[in-house]
Amino acid sequence: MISDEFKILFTGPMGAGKTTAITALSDQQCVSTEVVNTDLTQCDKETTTVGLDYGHIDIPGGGGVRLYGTPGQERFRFMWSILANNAAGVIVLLNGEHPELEDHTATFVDAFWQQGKMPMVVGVGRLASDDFETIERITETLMRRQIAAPVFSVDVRNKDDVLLLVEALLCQIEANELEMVEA
Amino acid sequence: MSAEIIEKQRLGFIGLGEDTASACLSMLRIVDGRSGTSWSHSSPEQADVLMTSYEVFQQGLDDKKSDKPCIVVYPSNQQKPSTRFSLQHPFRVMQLLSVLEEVAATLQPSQRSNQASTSTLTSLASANDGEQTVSPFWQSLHQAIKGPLKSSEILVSETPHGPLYFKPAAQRFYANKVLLKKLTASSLELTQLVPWRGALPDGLTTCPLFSLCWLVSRDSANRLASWISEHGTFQLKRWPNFGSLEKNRIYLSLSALMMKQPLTRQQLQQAAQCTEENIDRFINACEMSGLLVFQEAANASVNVAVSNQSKGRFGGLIKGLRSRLGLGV
Repeated sequence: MISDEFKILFTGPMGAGKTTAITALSDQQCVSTEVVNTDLTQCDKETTTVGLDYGHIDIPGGGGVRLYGTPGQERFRFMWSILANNAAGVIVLLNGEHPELEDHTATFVDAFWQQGKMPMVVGVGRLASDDFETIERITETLMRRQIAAPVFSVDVRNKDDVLLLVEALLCQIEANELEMVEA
Repeated sequence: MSAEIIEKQRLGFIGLGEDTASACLSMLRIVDGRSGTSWSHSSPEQADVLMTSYEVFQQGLDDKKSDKPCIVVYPSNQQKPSTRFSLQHPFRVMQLLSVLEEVAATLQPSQRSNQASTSTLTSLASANDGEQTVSPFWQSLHQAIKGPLKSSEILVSETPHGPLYFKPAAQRFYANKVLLKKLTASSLELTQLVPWRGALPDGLTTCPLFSLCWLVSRDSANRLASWISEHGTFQLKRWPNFGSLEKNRIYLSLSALMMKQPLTRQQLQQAAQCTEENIDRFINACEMSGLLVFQEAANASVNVAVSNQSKGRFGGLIKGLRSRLGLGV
């Protein structure tokens, strides 16, 4: 069946930039469930998402793409599988400066890869431009888990970087749809 | 009696003080005839080798001069620069002679006066010059990674922005930040990798194998390397590190396709809608980094084509989304 709408999911720990990324792409004002952040040990920011973020990209001629952001804190984990249902792909955003970066990587890629091996892209923020090693380390973490996903250094405040993540996801979706036929 | 071939090389000065330049010219006259190379002075543009001041080295040379070996003259109150060829000022005739001989030994075969190779790597890499589709640097890298010389030793390639070190065992390159920036921004000609006998200098940035291979392949390996068969299928073991890979849909698409299934070059070209050069460069970089699985194509797999993507579940949506986001269709 050919769809006229699909869903892209943004996930990752608190402060990784999920709301910022969705806001950068959405045609309408991002629907957000932000509350005052009381968990300043995990991330030093004023508010955080507790339910979901929602944005939408309208496609000319009909249809669209729904953008969902999960809450970053693990205590809201029950929301993750609900939001992942029927997603075409997932973008995992990570904070490259966080001391628990590798734990975060494992938590989020494991949680969503288990949802049916949907196409996945990992974006790591707040890395120095010449920090190749962190990306390599995360790539190796994925390899050990037999997860096939590309890893990018990104700044989600820059729309082009968010578009890069979307493009990487679209390329995987396309590759999955490719069929070999007799010439 | 066999006549010894004396090759002439030209040395150009950039940013040297008058005293230093004058002393160096006098020394060149003294060393003339004492080595296999005859050195003369020329303008930096016409020179084969450059000699620069410490300040010029730190600022970086412009691209026109960037492909020439460079000797950095540094003052005694400064730390030795992270470049392979350097001379502490003031220097003596024998010190100059020593560094000039070292430079001459690493010049390209066509430029080199002393035909006796100083390293097995160099001689191996230059043995097949006539049939190579890739640069001497790429050949020497191939020898270092795949050949019998693979070891924990350190190799070095010289550039005017400092040396590029490579540890085959660690699969890592090491370079100063200026050099990495130059490599990211533009093309640089790298000399063949040769053994480096010293320790790795401190303060260098580490660069994974694929990232560096990708940067260098832009000019060094954009046609399929002669040791890779074009008749077969190509698949990736894992996604390449996109740290420095051009954030370009073609390479994202090639990666996604090759992660999914083994495909021939023709199938890749059709599915990713790109040029042969795009594919060959990507395959070269992946092969060098150990990411590639190659399989001789059976007849059945040769006779396949890629289906029309728009028939897919999301095909039309993806096209519309790309158009909407300005990603190109």
